[in-house]
Amino acid sequence: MKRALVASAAGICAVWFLALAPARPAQPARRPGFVDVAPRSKISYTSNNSFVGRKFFPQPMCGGIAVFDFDNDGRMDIFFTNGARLPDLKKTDPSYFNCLLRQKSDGTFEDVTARAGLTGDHLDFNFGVAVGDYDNDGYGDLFLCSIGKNALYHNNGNGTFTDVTAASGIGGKPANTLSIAAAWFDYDNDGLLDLVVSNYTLWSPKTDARCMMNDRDYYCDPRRYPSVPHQLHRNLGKGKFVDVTAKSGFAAAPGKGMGVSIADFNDDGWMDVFIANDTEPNSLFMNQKNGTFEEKGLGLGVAYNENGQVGSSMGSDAKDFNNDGKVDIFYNNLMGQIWQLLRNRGDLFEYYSSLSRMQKLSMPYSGWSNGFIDYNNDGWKDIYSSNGDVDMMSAKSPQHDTLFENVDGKSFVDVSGEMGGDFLRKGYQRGSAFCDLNNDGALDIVVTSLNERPRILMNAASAGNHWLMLSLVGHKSARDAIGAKVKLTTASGRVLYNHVAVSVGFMSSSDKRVHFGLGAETKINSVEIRWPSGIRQTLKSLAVDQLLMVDEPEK
Amino acid sequence: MVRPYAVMALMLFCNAASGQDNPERILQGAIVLHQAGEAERAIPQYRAYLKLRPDAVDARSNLGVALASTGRYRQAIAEYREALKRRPRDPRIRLNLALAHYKLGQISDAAAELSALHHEQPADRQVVLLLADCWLRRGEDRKVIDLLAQVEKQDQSDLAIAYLLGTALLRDKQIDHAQQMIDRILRNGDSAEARLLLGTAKLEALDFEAAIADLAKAAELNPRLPDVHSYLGRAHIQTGDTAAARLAFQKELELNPNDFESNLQLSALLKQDQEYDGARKLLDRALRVRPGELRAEFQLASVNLTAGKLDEARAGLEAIVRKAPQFVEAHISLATAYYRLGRKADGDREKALSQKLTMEQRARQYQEKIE
Repeated sequence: MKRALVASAAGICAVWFLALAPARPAQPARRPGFVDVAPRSKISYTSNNSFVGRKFFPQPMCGGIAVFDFDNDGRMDIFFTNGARLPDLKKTDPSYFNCLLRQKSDGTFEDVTARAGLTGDHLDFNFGVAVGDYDNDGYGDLFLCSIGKNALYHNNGNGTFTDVTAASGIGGKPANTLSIAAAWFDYDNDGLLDLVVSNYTLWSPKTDARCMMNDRDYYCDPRRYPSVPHQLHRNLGKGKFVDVTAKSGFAAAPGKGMGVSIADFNDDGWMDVFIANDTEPNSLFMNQKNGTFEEKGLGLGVAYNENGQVGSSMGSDAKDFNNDGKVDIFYNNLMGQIWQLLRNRGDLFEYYSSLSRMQKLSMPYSGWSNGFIDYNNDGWKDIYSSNGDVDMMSAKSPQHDTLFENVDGKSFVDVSGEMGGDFLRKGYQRGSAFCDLNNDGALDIVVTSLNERPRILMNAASAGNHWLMLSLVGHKSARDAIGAKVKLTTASGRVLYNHVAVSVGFMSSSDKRVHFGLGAETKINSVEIRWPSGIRQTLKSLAVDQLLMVDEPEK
Repeated sequence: MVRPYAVMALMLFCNAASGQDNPERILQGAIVLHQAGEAERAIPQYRAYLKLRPDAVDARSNLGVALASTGRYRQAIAEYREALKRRPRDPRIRLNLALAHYKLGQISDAAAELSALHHEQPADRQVVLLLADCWLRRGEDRKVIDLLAQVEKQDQSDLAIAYLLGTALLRDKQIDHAQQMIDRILRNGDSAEARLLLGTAKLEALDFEAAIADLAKAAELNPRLPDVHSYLGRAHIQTGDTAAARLAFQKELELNPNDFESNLQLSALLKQDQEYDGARKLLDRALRVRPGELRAEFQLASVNLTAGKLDEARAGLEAIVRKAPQFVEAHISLATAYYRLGRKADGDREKALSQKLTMEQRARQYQEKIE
């Protein structure tokens, strides 16, 4: 990437313009498709859930993804989690190893897992991965969720990682707790990233329930298993964490956690937590600004569907899909259920799947990971979902991904069919992460599928729309600035919102940079940032089509 | 509607005397108008006659018929009841009374009158069919099966019986027996009734696309077939096509405004689309058809809750959980209402109760599965 230092137009603080691409003339919008570039690289990783006929309960959840620039070379890299042999839960050979792919300057990837110390050969079956710079040293660290011991890897800044789980005090959990996903965020606004872990149930190979029909195994209904509390770990600094699950109020609201989404839902400057619970009421932990949370999912209208029933809540994302300044919630479900789009009204969330046509669009699909992404840079966040049924029971079980295009923040249309053959590959897709791999301003997607090679779906970036990408660097706030809210106003007066979010979808971490599609707009009047510290910053008169690094000012 | 006035008219013509104030002449005029399709003009004539001859049962019955034909079913019911006081065993008047209740969506009252008629005249096929239809509408499928099973054995050529019985059997999950009814209808060629039953069976079997194909065909063959659009709407809901579902329910309600399921299901769709007033109107009608029906009462409370009418929602939900303490979704919604009303302690209590009930329900289901 070309690095051009350009003077800041209106920064109160230091603002580096990392790339300034020539503004493209406005063109009629076209739908960009996606091309899988994984085959261009030598990638040995295939998610391996140890399926050899006997079905174990956790097997459908394999293949977490993190996209982050682990070596700070300006290019996004990719990390995949992997399973373990069942029932002994050991990564007995490299086919079960986790995988770190470093992006080279030509856009291909090299496997640097062993060199980085990330094979995870001492771990067991890994699920989700959360990226966060917990020690504010400028390098993204990794937290891995597992059937057994969870793991915290410290990024040493030299291309290697060290497992610091024991020393950090963060890996502990009740025996046999399945931890599925996690999210870094600074719940007490002290400038240090804390960690919430979405726990699913109690399970071990010994307690695995076996379900059979006509002498054929099938994955048992999750309702056979108990709910468990999610966990909250407070960052004490200096690499130490303390479990505040009970003290914070998290212990009072158990669930079967899948996706976890961090956002400031009531716009009070404090991060809240949404957790999609499979076959249990979803949780919405509202930050009480005193180190505690109150679970308010029921009163706020996100715990159940509009009929007071639970669904198979899977992955989740929380973004402002209609640019009204309030963060909305999306989570997907299994086929025959309805994916839930919940519009934030300010005082509560309202069911919006019917009015938005999500109800009809989603019915045939079993969704896992997902995310609000503006794939065509028109300024409206679309909804991507990686799909595939839990089990392999019918011809409808293997499914392709879906992309539902946002029409003016009101409704969605299915444009999956126009996304290309690589996008439409059928399978049992699981994790997904969103990123701009080649820094061209168009969001790309990395997807895992059970027991298949992953796809690295490059966005053709052919929509002809403009964009802005912000890389926020916190100083008083945690360096990753997770939760920082950004309001962008274009020259024509159009207002767009986004915030820094890393844990997106299911078991996955996305590019932490904040992306805005701008449509045909060629000038930006202002960008207003509210940092987690409470500091507000305004940048004025910005050019489009650039990647902008913004430091948090002192005041 | 049974029209008994023709015979009476002939009799009256013979006895008619001359003169404007002559009661018989007034009645004659009423009947002539009525027969000519001028019910509106006949009604005051009947009333004038009944002022002079309040005990004239046939004239009162005719007045009921005229009122019913102009949509004034409540007034018609009053006249029929008055007539029945004087001639309680008249089957024609009772049948008309039942039909008026039916038209008003007072299905329970219609069923009560038809039950009485059926008791008196068990062989009357029209009464049997109407009674079965009423019970179907009330969801009393077992009663329909009991009523029609014997009739069906005696007469396997009556496709209406096969159709009603097949519908009840499908709803009661007696699929094999229902299939016999479907086959019987199919042997008579492709018909709307057969397609409807096939579609219903596929709906029960969760094969929604196939159900839609059959139900759409049924609607094409006979757009006026009762229930066909209602079932089509239900199938569309299952595929998420709420726009098609709305259209289907609306069509059903144009033909049969008192179809319970269409009122209920369409109200849910309107609620989802935030058309709360429309949803309430439909639910009011559904509750007239099936007073006290829990699903409709819950839906009404749910509409109020979503629309922000919190006190009305709370009152409705409190009544529901009193009536049905095991109704988990009602407890959940009541907890939501309490939270939104700022009654946290009550909300916490209801939430805990709903969780306890859910656990008990799951334990029962698990136990049943094992057994």
